[in-house]
Amino acid sequence: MISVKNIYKDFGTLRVLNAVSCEIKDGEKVVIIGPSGSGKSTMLRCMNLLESPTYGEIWLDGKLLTPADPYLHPAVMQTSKTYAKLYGKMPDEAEVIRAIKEKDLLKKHEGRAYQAALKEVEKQNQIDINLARQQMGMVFQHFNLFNNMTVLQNLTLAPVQLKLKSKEEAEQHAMQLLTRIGLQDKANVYPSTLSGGQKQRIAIVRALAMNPKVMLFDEPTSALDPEMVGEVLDLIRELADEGMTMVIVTHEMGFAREVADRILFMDGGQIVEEAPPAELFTSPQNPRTKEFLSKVL
Amino acid sequence: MKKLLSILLVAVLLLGTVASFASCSNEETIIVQTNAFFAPFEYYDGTEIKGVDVEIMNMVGEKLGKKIEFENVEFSAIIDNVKAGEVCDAGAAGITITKERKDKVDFSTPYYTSVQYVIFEKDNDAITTKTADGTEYIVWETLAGKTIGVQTDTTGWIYTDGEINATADNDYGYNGVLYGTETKLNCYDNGQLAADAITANHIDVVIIDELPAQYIVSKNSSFKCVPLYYSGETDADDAPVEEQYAICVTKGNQELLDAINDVLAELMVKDAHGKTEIEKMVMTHMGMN
Amino acid sequence: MDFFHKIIELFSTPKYMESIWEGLKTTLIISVLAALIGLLLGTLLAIVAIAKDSKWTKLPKLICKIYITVIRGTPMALQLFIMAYVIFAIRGFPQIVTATIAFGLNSSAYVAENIRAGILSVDIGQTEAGRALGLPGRTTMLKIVIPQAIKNVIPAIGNELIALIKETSIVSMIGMYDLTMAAKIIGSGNNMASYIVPMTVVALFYLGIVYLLTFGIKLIEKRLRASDKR
Repeated sequence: MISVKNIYKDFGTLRVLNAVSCEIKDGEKVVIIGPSGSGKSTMLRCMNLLESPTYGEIWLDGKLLTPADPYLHPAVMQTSKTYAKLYGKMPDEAEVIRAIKEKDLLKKHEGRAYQAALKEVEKQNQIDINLARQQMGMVFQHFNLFNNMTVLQNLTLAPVQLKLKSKEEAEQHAMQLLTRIGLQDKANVYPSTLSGGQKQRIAIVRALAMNPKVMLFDEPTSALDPEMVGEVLDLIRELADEGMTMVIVTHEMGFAREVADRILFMDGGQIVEEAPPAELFTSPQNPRTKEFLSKVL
Repeated sequence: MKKLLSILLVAVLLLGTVASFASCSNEETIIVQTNAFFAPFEYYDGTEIKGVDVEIMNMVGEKLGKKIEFENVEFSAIIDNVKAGEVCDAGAAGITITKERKDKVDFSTPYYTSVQYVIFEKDNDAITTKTADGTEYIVWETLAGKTIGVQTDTTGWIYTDGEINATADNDYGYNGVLYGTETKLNCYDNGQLAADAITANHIDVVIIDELPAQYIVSKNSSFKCVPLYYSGETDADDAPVEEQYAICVTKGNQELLDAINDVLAELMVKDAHGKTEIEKMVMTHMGMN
Repeated sequence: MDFFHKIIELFSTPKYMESIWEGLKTTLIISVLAALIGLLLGTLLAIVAIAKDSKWTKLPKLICKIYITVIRGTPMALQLFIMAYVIFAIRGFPQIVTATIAFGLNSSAYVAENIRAGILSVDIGQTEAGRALGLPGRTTMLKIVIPQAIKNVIPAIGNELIALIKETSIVSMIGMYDLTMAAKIIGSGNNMASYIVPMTVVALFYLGIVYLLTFGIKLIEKRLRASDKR
């Protein structure tokens, strides 16, 4: 479903993500854990391009979301001037490609053929980012309900604006979703009158109103009062049981263990270890994973 | 609603521009700049500018068969605007002929002789000189150390500034009467504002032309005004600070200048009682008729 | 008391009231038209100012920045002077247009800054939530950010309008017949020969206008806030 290919993310001189790759399969529930500042939220936000990766590519269902990264396409690299220069000085093609990759040798101007090759890759594979985002629901730590709209308007805005549904259809669907979470009586109130737990559940169904293929959760319970964490986790668990593909960044280890098919442990901008929960929580291999788990469990 | 407003706005702006170019192309209008705070020569009566200068220029307009349009601006802007000749053709604002102004614009024949007056509070009349025949005046010397108010760029300002700052070394070639004394000069936008500054104790006296001075005093019972004199060898040699008003036009506009001079020549003819038309106009506009 | 006598004299003399009425008209016309120009142009400037950096927006953004800096960094009186005596030094050009443009341009710089600040004050999470749903940037701006920004901007714009109205009093500098000029005329030598009473009366007129405006802004604010808690 989602392929993250060798992404780097720099904020100024700070490298937040360092050569991260991973694959989210259809129907899979992946939970990302790790200490704060490890890059897990940035990684999630890169998946729907709220942050643009500095290098690397993101793919959704075989479609490219980011600009094409030449380092991931040997055929493109072979058209570059740098390649032409190095070819002959080295024993074989693979050697040249490796040298270019390792030493980051590609420049801004690598000739017309190279530009055309890169464009061609994008033309063949790229999908409009807004179209891609419609298929990826995102839930934020701070809910981010639209303050200037009622709950119902929050749910219907995107489907109606994007002409996916008529206003009536959208409202009907929205009411179904609200009924499901037991908040149908809040349809016409403004978000400022709701509790944190209610807000987050509405934020989740707002994403569901778009019928996404995958849901991204960015620390969905971190901003909640403890007594409201449960209701939000219950809803996420329900979705998981229905088979929704999910990527969840969270600090709730018990929940992670229960819901995840696979856990990614991130530290220092890299995926340090990944394994099914039973394995990772009971017998972590990497010392950094061990250290982290010993603190949080 | 918003759309309507913006359309309205554009319409107003367009209209304004069109109107302006319409009047631009109209060669039949003579634009005269003035400063309508100088009764009886020019003043606002309600929303209309009236006065001796207005009457004179209207007669000029009649003579030339052109429309006269008066514009009210800062007095200090008039000479430069007339000099440039872009926005106006003439200046009629009781303008005194001075050498510096003559370099910039052409002046008509003088049509009024004015004397500089000093306005002060009645209680303060120890500063005046009284002669045996009852005339009362102030000589420059008695103003030493006082704070004097004037209207910016008027002759009152030019004279006072000269007397305070002129030295033998600079352009003036002589020492001003008040040079080296602690006399201070405050400038105001118009004479009335200067007069109000006396009431507010900011200044001691105002130096201004005769007629506006008499106007102000006639409406404020606490003020008094007397002419300003240069002191001579003896009291008998003391002489008033005199000046002559004229109308100015952009250099080279001979047609307009000739027409003004013709009108002035007619108005300067004395009648059976020895009075000129100009003098009668002055009396009318001062409400003394 | 002489002061009260003169106030009565002012209000009972048709000529003086005509002056005040004429001045009031000019003041209101300049204020309203300049406010409209200021709001329209200011919004435009703000949109340019907050546009994303790209090679297309680089030059407009720079111009916009310089414009706002220059306008906010120089006195209104000098801007009016330059407008009247340099830019529109055209024979017979209507002064009301000169003044309206001068004040409109001046106001637009302040409005632009207010709007920019208002938009930036809307939590970035609102934009992110909109974009994450697949809404284009423009829709997100129009449907989500701007409606919230308006609420933050209204009080600041109100202040700007109040400042604008009072600042129009300097048009008498270029000889225009506004409220302040009316006071000067009524106070001049051939009329009341004292500035104190007419200036006081005219000050009350300004106060009245500003009070009405403040009242209107309060109403708008109240209505906007009502949508918060329903």
